[in-house]
Amino acid sequence: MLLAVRKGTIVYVMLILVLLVVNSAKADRRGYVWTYEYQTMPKGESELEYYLTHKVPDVHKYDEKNTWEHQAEYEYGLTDRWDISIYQRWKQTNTKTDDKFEYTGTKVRTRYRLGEKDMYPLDTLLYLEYIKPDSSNEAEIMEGKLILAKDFGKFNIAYNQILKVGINNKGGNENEYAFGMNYEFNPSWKAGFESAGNYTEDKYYIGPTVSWAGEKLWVGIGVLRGLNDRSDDFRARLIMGIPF
Amino acid sequence: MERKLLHWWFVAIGLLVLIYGCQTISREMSPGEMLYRAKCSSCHSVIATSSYDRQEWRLYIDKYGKKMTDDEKRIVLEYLVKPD
Ligand code: HEC
Repeated sequence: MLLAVRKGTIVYVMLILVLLVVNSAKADRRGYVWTYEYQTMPKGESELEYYLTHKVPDVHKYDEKNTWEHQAEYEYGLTDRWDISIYQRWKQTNTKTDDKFEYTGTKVRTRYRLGEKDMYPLDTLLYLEYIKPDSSNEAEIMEGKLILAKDFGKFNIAYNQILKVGINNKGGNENEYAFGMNYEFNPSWKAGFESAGNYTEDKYYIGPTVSWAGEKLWVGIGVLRGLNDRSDDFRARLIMGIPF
Repeated sequence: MERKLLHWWFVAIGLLVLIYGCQTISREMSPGEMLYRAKCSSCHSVIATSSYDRQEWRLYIDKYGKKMTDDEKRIVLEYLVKPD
């Protein structure tokens, strides 16, 4: 257990070091943690993001199983509307008998915005991702997302339609969604709620999210509760972004 | 479940066709406005051009547009003080 935690802290230390040396503002600041909104990295700029996701299948049996997923992402803007990124992922699984920390694999992603905000009645972003698990027993996945969003003054709504396709005969197709609504109290603070789920597996979640941005850092935190027995009881996620 | 999957993708693609097939409902934007929206609306919502004067906008552009070229800053500033 202790050893596993220590490995996890390497990621934090790395990020804090980067934080200390960066000094400029420009970001793909997220107002949500489960839902993508209408945003890409501007041309020539980059950002480091760290995701921490905690999943608890059954809160009454917390010790029997819970997981902490770590994800580090580097994003770069090819044009003002088109960006690419690469992720590295780790996972800590805690069970009654055993705690393990493992590298789970890599992802590459590209996003494209079809215009500028308000050019069309709905702002539309196309998202394509390739997920390569470290273990050859797991599915390699192509993930497509259609992201539809709209600002109404300080209110924002965003809907993601997500299709996951297993491409090495190890996984079937899955259809998922994420939805968010938030309000911008001022340029730094946004708060709202999100819902996410998997139509294929009948899993649904809902919960609040808050997001804060400063000049050199932004942070989003959200929690979800499962809405049926198939869903995890509880999920929480923190995302931190450091533009440089 | 497969049926449900298809159903959602039809709705999504239908919406897209509706939006992009219908030219009349898209809004014309000047290059200045597009650049302003691209560079300045990722962290917060689009701030109305009338909120500040030239002096103030210049300061904000310098503060938040550190990676923008001088040309880009000029184009955005001109749009902000004289939106058409
Ligand atoms: C990295 C994210 C980010 C980007 C990109 C960004 N801003 Fe901001 N902006 C902020 C944050 C955070 C605040 C509020 C905190 C502060 O004042 O530092 C803010 C505040 C402002 C304010 C003050 C509004 C108020 O109500 O206080 C103005 C004006 C502004 N930004 C203009 C711009 C312009 C113009 C651009 C494009 C050149 C831009 N911003 C790009 C993050 C950003």
